[in-house]
Amino acid sequence: MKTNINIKNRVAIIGAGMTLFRRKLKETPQEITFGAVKMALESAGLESKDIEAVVIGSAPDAFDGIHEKGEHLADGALSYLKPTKRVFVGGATGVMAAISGWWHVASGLYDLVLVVAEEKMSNARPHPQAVFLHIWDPILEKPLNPNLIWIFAMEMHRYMYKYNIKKEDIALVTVKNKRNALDHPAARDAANVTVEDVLNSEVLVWPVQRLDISSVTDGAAAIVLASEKIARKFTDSPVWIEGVGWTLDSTHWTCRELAYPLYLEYAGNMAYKIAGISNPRKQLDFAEVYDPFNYKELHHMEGLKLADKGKAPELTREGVTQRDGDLPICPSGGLLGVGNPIAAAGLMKVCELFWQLRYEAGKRQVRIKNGYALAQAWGDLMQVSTVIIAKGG
Amino acid sequence: MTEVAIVGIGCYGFMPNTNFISFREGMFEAAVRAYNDCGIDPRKDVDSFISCEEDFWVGISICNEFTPDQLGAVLKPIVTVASESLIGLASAYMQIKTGVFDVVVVESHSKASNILSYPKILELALDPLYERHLGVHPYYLASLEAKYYMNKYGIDYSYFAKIVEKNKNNGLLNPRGNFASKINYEDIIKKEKIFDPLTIYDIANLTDGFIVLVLASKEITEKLDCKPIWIKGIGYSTESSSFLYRELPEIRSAYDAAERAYKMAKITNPRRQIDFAEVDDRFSYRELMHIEALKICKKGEAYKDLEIGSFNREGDFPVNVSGGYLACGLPLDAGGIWRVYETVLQLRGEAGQMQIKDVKNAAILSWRGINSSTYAVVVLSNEN
Repeated sequence: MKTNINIKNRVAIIGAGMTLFRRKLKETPQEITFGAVKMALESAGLESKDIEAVVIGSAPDAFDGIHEKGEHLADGALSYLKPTKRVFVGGATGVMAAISGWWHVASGLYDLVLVVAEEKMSNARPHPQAVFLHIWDPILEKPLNPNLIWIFAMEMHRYMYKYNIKKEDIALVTVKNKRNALDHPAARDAANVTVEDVLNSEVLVWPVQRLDISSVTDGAAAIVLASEKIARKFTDSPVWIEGVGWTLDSTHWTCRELAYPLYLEYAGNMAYKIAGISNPRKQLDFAEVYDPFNYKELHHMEGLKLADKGKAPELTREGVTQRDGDLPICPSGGLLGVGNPIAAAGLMKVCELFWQLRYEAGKRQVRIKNGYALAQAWGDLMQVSTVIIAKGG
Repeated sequence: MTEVAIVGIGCYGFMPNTNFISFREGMFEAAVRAYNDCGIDPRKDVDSFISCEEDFWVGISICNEFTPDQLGAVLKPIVTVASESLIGLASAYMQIKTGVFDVVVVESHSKASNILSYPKILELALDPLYERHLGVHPYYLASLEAKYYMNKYGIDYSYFAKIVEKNKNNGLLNPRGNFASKINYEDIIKKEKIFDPLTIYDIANLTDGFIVLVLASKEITEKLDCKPIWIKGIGYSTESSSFLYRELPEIRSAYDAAERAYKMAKITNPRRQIDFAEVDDRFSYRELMHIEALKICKKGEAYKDLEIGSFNREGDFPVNVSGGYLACGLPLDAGGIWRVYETVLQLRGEAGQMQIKDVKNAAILSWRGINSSTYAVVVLSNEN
């Protein structure tokens, strides 16, 4: 990467939209996509003919059971005779789609780009977990028939063991996020739960319990990106994308230290460098870190240098990460509260940056001081992270 | 704004079956060749990687997990563009244009020999409610389309046979010509139809193949020991995924993609400004349609030029001198950048026996297959 980064074309988010996050939505994948696209276009005051290029994000084809899913969703994204492509990095796809939209505009080739992420997980029967039986190395790992919860249980265990963290502290993340989501109109899993509820919920794979995990969800989210020269034609308060970063680690997760997400540190460094952020802890007003499991929020805070190694649970316990705290984390309610339609959940976090930085988040609104905020997603075999930094005003 | 060049190319394993290696080993071989071609170290010099693959072709649910190690991309930015590989190339081009990245690698591969049920996977790309349940090989769509094209422009099968004859013979000079043969017109015309009017010779066979390209910005290109081939224009476009919503032989998005690429490359008279083309020929008749989409000929008139031999390797506008998919096999979504590989060899003057003389500009058109309306066009040149 260049040492002296000069991005000639700044990129603004000028519209955002999302569908309800629900299990077993009746709409087809194309219709769900259209729902989010329509809302995003309306919020930007645009029509589909104004859009110059489309980026689609969606996780494994096997959820919808459709090969070349990007082609299939194109109709729902209103991409008739437009450059259309799909990006895919497992669970981190949602934020990656926004990053891909960023390079469309930052390259100077396009001025208005639509980014949409969709997931319909409930089509998979009996349970979408079966799709994850086929994400493993076919020779070394598949014969063991592992599933995702197993390996995350290993990661959680390792994290708890290395830094001596108690389950009670990790459970606080669930309590916070599910409560935050009570104010989110599209949320599926909003609830007032207590630490006891989390600790008493069904054990899936120790130490992972039912309320430690986000749930299977259908939904879509979309944003509209514009170049600097036209952004202010559509809105007085665009939200600028200041930094992007993404990194993949080795496939061989068995050979890695699971207690610390090094790939996220690299991705975060890249984004901080492009955005010119030297002290993320001070400069960021809030962060939407990826929280498919409650311990992942803590894990990711440490990877992003928002907390020292092993110290994120302490910050959570002290209330720093609450919506009225010093550094609110997941004020939307995150995946634990709003729901986890994989790719759409990542882009939902970018939507939340847009709403928060424009003071449009209603009851979820956090205090904006410096105007910087961050969204992050994570996926594959605990190996990829994508980071986007936005600035209001 | 910086210009973008292809500085390194690597290709490995163009054969019907590569059962002696895994897809990851094949990618490694291609990557090593590409890095050596321009003398870079992926761990130090490359800023970003792009792979183009689809879950169902690879047979792994999140295939992108298995990409970083063999490309030297561990702990580096890498993303999968689940689309035709030329669209991945377009993404790499845009990344360099942002000014953040200097060197970007594009990878795509086919391990078609691993696929047991190719028609069934193709069928999964059709609309689940309206299009899937016919229970026939999805190539019937090609049959319908070919008939429509023949009727509309009043041409007969003999022209398709000429394309097959041209490409299969061109491929004889290509080391990657898996399915090249010294076949002649009479043999083809006598063959029984399998998807009427298409015979088994009109349909490209699948092949394995691994391709890696290295792209760089202008300032880096000057420091490298390489023969840069410049990307002058690139465009891609999608119509509708469902054939119910599009007029089959119209291929509007192919025309749109070509227009976008020509506009960027400032090409107004393609026939004169471009010296040769590589176009998708997974079905023989498609070559004619794609030549028309590239505006080399008027709509419905490509067969006239074919008849007088314009598209032969010694003709005035050679098309598919590599032999195309008909002679080299169809490497699934890697087809786009495989054609870039062949074209770069020609433009560098390194194509050996295949070499055509005095070439400067070339156009490539790629398509995603019968279930799709996604097309990509790129214009390459050896002069900046």
